[in-house]
Amino acid sequence: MFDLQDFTVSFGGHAALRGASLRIDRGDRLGVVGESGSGKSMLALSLIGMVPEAAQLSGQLSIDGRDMSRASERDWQRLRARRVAIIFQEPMAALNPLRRVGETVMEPMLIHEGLSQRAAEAKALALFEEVGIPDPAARLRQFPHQLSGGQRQRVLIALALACDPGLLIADEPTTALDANVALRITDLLVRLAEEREMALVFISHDLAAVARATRDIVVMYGGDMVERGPTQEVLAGPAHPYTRGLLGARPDPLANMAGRGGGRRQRLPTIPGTVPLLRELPQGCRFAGRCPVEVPQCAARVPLATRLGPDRSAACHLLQAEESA
Amino acid sequence: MTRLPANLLIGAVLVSLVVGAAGLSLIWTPHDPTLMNIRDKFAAPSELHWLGTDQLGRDVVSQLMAGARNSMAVALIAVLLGGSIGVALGLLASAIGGWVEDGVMRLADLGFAFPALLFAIMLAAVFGPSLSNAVLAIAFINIPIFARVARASANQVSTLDYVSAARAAGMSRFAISRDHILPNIAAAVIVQATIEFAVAILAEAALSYLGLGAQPPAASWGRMLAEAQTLLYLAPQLAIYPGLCIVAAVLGFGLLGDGLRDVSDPRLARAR
Amino acid sequence: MSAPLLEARGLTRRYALPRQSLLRKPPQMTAVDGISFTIEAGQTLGVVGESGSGKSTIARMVMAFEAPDAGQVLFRGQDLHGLKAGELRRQRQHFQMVFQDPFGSLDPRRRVGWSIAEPLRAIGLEADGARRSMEALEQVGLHPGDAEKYPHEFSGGQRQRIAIARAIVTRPALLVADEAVSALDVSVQAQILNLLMDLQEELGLGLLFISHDLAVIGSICDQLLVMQHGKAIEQGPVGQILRTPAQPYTQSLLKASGVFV
Repeated sequence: MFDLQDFTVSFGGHAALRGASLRIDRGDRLGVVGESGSGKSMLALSLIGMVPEAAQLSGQLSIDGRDMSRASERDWQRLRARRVAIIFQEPMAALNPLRRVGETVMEPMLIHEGLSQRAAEAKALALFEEVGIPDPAARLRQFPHQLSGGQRQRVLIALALACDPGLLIADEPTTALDANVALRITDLLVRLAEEREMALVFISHDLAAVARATRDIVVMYGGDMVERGPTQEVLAGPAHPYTRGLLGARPDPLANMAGRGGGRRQRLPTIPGTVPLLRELPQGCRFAGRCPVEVPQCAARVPLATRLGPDRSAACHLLQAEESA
Repeated sequence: MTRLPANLLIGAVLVSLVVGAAGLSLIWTPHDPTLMNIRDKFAAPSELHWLGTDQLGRDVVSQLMAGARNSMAVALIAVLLGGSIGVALGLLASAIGGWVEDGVMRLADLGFAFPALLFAIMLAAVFGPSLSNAVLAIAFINIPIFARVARASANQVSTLDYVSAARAAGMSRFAISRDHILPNIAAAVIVQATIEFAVAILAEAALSYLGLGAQPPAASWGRMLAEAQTLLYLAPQLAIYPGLCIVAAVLGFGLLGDGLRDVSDPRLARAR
Repeated sequence: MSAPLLEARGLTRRYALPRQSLLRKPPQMTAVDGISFTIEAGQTLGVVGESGSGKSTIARMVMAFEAPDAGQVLFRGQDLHGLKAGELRRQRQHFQMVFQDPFGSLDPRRRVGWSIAEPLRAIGLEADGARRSMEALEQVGLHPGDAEKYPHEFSGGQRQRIAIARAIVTRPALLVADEAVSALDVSVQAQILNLLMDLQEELGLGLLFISHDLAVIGSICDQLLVMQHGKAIEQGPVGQILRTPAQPYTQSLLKASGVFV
């Protein structure tokens, strides 16, 4: 359905997304994990054609066999909402505060699908029910400020589903929400993806949410896809040094509490340093300079993905060396 | 230099012309703007008089330049005076809050309701009409405008964490207003000032036209308009020239202010 | 037996909601209802709750930004809200705060060194400002030369370090961290948490740590206070509560946060 080949998004000669290759088919549930500067947001924007104008693109993107690599804004407008939809992190910022939420949700239906007012209202009502908004008929007529954070996010999900897209991209959908609400929204997205046979790309730095919601995972750092594979496998046995560092840095109260009792509190394992600025990233492996097991060639040469299993790979020189040994 | 908005560029050009002419007039004008030469009245444009002469034989170009100088001076002083007082009041209202804030804002509302014209007439009735009274009247009108802008911006900035941090550090409200709030509302205030500049120019022209501002022989576009009124059939150009100058100046400053506003906000957002 | 570093007694805070009718009094909403706790030097109290639980209001009352409607905040035995304005400002050097948003907590127009030295200026120690700013920068793992830079030149995690430098420059006895790591990437969170623990050890700080993230709280706190709708649901040693939560609300929070998953 969606096929990204060696896709690169650069700004002034520096790549924010580098050589990304990805295939998304119906029913896939893919998690994209990364921190600031990982390129995960740029990946999301590339899939929906909303990359900033100043960016230089290279590589291929095809959607349903159609080449959208350098498509115009008009071409993208025909695809958006109908083939691919996106929901962002901040529910309040994405909703027009002066419009009733029902009107906002009906808008794409009226414009893209040419539905009548009646039909759109009925569909909006059905969508509100589908996304689990209680008392949907009343809610349709309310304004965003009258809804809670979780409900607003559900409205945005309903909006994204308005024209039955084949792919839903969720960019940090639960970050601004409380833990309980986040859990329910995550489960909702999974249920919708299953019931509608819709592909879901779940972008988040919340590893627990990604573990819950996805079957496969891609770990990103500095614009590169450093590891990918089935979610449970990657989280249980990370191969790439960055993935290992990321998983290790999660605060683990159990481990910490065990060391208590008069002694010094355990320090959390960390990845030393910080993510370099875009223009200061090393030309080879992006993680060079912070990697605990790097060798001199890491900074200079781009590591290729080493296959570790049928759907599993990681881009690391050391793994490559092991494999060829 | 990346693409600057059109309004900023056009505004800057117009403003430069007007300010340039005003500045130049301090040291040189083609002729003495007050020099009358009745025999040469209503002269057509020539090499000697680039736009001709008026009903008293005075050189039009010289008068326009001197008029520019007066307009600029009045606008500058009025806006600076009214702006400073207004910003100080706005900051005070925001910093103290409560009934002080409400009180200041209600006074500002009163000020808004009071027309500049009325104030100018009052001043003129008591102290006699003059350019300085026009300045005072226009300054008075600016106080509530700047008080409102300053208070709104200050309230917004006050919610930011670095202001809370300054409070946590033990800084007094006065120090916080001076060190954190004022610099961070400067952009909004400056933009407002350029717009009020345009309004002040228009206001001065209006007051002078009514005889409440510049008194002859002082040059002023408004005064030129007033004198040209009775001569519209005879020499319409004498009304058109000052009119165009007013339009150019007001448009220029207005566009400049708009352009500055366009440039300052999104830049700040993108820099993050 | 001297007074504890920080003691909260029966803190209560109410807010008036928008009027429903012109004639009747506006309805009130209780943000914090009778909260009490104690923090000693070198100890960390975690306050956990969802949005609307009242935890941030607790922080504001402890920092004396807002006065409680009932109850007291006793800092070293002194009632903070009973102090005169000038005396309160002088006391502030002993308790400082780190805010959630690394992008909003530093004045963008000021050099970093200037911002860090601000608490010193407030108590008249500006002569020492430059030197102590640079010392503080080193303590938080940055270069003393960074004092000349502006906030936008730093990453989120680095800005949070700068905010911490500002908070420790007067060598306070108590630090209030309000969601101080919530806006940071996971790997950066770990660095900042380690930094806070190191500083606590070095300076003997009492730490009030507010967060919605149980995993973070569990790894840094000694005592825990669980809040919901302004009330204390559970309170006690962190290990005990996380391992054997007594209240259903605590249990649901644990489940939702993925701890022990």
